[in-house]
Amino acid sequence: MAIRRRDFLKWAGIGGLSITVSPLLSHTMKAFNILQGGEAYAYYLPTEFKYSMCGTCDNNCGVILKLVDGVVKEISGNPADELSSGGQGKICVKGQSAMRNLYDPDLLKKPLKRTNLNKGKDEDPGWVAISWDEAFTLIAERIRNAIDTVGPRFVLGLLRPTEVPMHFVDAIGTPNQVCHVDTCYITHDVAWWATLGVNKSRTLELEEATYLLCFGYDMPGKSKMAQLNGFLAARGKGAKIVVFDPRLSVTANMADEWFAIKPGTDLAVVLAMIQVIINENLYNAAYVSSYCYGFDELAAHVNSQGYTPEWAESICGIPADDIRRIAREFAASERPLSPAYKRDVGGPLYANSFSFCQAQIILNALVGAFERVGGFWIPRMPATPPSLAAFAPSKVNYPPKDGNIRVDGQHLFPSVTKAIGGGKKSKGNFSHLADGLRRARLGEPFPDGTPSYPVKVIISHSYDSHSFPNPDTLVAELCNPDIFLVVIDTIPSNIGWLADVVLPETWWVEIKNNFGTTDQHSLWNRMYLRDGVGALWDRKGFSAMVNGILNKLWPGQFDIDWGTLNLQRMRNVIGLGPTEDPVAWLRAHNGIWENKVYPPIPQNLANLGTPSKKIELYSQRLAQDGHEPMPVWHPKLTERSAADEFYVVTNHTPYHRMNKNRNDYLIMDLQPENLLYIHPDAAAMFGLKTGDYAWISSPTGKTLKIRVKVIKGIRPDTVMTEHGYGHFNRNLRVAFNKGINDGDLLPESTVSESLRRYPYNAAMGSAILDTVIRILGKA
Amino acid sequence: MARKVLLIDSSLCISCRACQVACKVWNDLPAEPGMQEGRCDLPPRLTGTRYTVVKDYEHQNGSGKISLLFFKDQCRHCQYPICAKVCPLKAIEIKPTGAVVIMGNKCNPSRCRTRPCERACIYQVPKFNQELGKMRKCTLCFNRISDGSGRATACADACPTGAISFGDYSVMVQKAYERLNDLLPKYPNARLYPGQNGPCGNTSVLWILTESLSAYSLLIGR
Repeated sequence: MAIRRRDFLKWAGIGGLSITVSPLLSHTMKAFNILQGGEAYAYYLPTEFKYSMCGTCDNNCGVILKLVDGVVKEISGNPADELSSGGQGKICVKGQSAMRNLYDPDLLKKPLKRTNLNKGKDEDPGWVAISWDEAFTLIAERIRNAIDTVGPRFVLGLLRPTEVPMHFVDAIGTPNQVCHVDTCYITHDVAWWATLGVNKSRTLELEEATYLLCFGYDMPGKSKMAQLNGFLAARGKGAKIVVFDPRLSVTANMADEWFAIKPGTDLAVVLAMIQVIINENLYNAAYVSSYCYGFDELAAHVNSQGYTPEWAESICGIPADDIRRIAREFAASERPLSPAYKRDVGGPLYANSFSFCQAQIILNALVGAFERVGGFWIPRMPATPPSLAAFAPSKVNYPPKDGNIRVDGQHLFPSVTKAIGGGKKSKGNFSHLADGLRRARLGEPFPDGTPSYPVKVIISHSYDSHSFPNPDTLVAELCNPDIFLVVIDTIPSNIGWLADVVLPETWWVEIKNNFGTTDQHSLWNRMYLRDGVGALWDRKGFSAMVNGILNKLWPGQFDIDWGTLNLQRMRNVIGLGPTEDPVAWLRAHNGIWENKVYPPIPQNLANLGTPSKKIELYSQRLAQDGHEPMPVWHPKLTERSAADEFYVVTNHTPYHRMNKNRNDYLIMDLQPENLLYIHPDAAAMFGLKTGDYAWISSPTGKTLKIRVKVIKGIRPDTVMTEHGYGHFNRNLRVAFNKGINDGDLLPESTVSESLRRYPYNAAMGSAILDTVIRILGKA
Repeated sequence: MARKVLLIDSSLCISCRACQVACKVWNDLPAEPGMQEGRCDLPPRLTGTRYTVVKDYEHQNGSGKISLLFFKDQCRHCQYPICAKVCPLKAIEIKPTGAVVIMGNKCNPSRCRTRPCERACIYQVPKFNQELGKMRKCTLCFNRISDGSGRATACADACPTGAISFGDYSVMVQKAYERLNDLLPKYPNARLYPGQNGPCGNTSVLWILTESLSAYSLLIGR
């Protein structure tokens, strides 16, 4: 199926003459141009350039859109954006794919209503287009019905904890705002809260680091611009790079040393390195005495537990001499840093990932890597005061929350609640949602005896069932006819295939008269102009949808003019008068406002949000809540027990941003199915060669067929596959049914299991990769 | 317009394939036939609708160290292109920038039948485009760089790491040698490819490779 977009007019250059052709003639002109020897075109139509901020991934680079006759024809980086692309005016392949996502023929264009009441992967929803008013009325009726008959908590939002979704959740009064972070980076967030008193920073000044000690960190391999540039700059300046990863990632390939570590044992290495650095007095003593709390407890702890390099070798298989040597090199280097992002080893991959996060923070603290040039910087992001409350005080009289018992059981994990927004918002809990819905359907109470309850309405914004571990259990629960499912997204999604109503949201390229900020690599405050092409077809922004639904429920009561509010905030940030146009100001200033203060004064460290106001190597908060205050070694949950069992690691390709650009025909062209990467020794056991298909079975009992690629750069006991494939929504004509979903290989967690791990896994992370899969043989 | 060089520094490549996509966008090429049905193309290769492709190789050196090697395959744009010599229709022209371009109005494989350009090219670059019925390959974006806007080729503009760069011949050749000298301490087998005194003369595309040619499945001496 060759998909080509022929709906743009093009011109052929003939002797420098600019000629205008009618749309009818454009094909002829194209053919003529091809005959001239080039298939590419200069354009005769009016061209304009607009500033925006990329929203494909959350690296949020400043970009410039090139519009030809109002059509986006090119997306490039904004050279004025020093931080994301190093001032080179580059963006990654995912950002460039946004223009194809924007004009994707499969895009959601109008609100859709389901006519087939049966739900399932193989059920045609029987979509009919409806008007926005009908859609809002229908959704409001169902929410009203749930609130009046049973209560606001019977409405569940699959929503991120950002301002507009939280406004919606608070207006409804439900405690059920369920978010993806427990499968993403919640371990980092809670460990930072316990140790540094703030949520995880993603601001790393990689470019100035002189030693990078990476554990599963592979941002260059995911082509995240800010981190990629920082990494390459550090490498270019001669920084030593050491990578621990079960497979040879792109980062490991560029490193000086790569250790193929056994999955889930990185914690042992870090504990041993801490022991070496402490016992050999290699730590930054001045920094530790000024800014750290609990050093003596830590020193006693690592020695009494016997965390020596020899002990670590017995667990992870990496020679003790290497661990000792690297610890010494790391501590002796001028500006060492152990970088972390989201789903590296510190992400919620294994049962011991939370302890790993804590240990990694301690390792960085011992060498003074926080608030230092070439280190981790405490977030200095929120650059857009004042908040909602300052501008719309009459609108924020939210009703009280309808209790605190959540369907996903997050109320049983108080440390997480405290760590994130003090219970006002949530960053969990994808991994328990299916368990919670099942529990509610069967009338089973939670382990502590609190009753569960069956939600009536679920509203999902820009999430997909694909992002859940073992999504089939969730899909089965969502097929429950008692649940009214509303899905808001830009393109069809798998969860959308099960929806009762689908609402089309604008893609970031369409957002205009707005701004964006980012906490990624925010060495200083920045605000980007978002000056896109405006909503196409019959699409709306999310805030307009929230207003539409809330106005049907409580006319005028929660109505906020987000457009005016945003313009006012932009004026405040820039310092403009009430009549001045902030959009025009930003257009005249390369689309970016920034307050460049470099290097910053490390005063942040003097007054941290921890009880001791210091970096807590011994976490008082964790101790108070009954967790281990210092990291203790715990093995991963599952071990290989047979020769045909393999540890599994997953990866994102550099060209896929999760599911967002899944339906881009040129991206699918690069790799139309995901592969199972396997070591030659393991492949030989099953007679597998590159290009063969293999049957694999997951611990959840699924049998899947996947294509094999044999590589030497992976451990013989480990296999790897990629995320972003295996979609079942038939409206995705490019992405449908290609490859397998890696989530199908991974077991979901349950509330009871997370409670069992809670004493040492204070972040209740889902231990998403803590599993083994079985290779059944050649297909 | 002066002679140009496209320099591809493999040591900076992360195999993100932004260049491949940008090439397809600029040249308005469709997705690969068959690929959209979910069949992975192993190994990737040049086709009539894919003028450039990033190939990856796994290499194990004498001491057992494994590394990934990335090679952005494409037309080398030879100084004395054999393809142009053998074309019976004289459809292959050398542009002032050094680009070797198959002129669509002259190319007619149904007349020459045996596709001598594909057979003669020692790098096996020209490929038949089914849809157009013509031979196709990289044009060194001659129709992009000549519009006076100062842009580089589509692949160089898209490359996020700076592994692909484009510029005037003398500047880029000097840059290539400087970069090679920087790499040699870390990569003792690093080299420039193709050899600048090869059978087809100085090419307008230069690679900096970190390993020997055989590690990239490239034929020695070519």
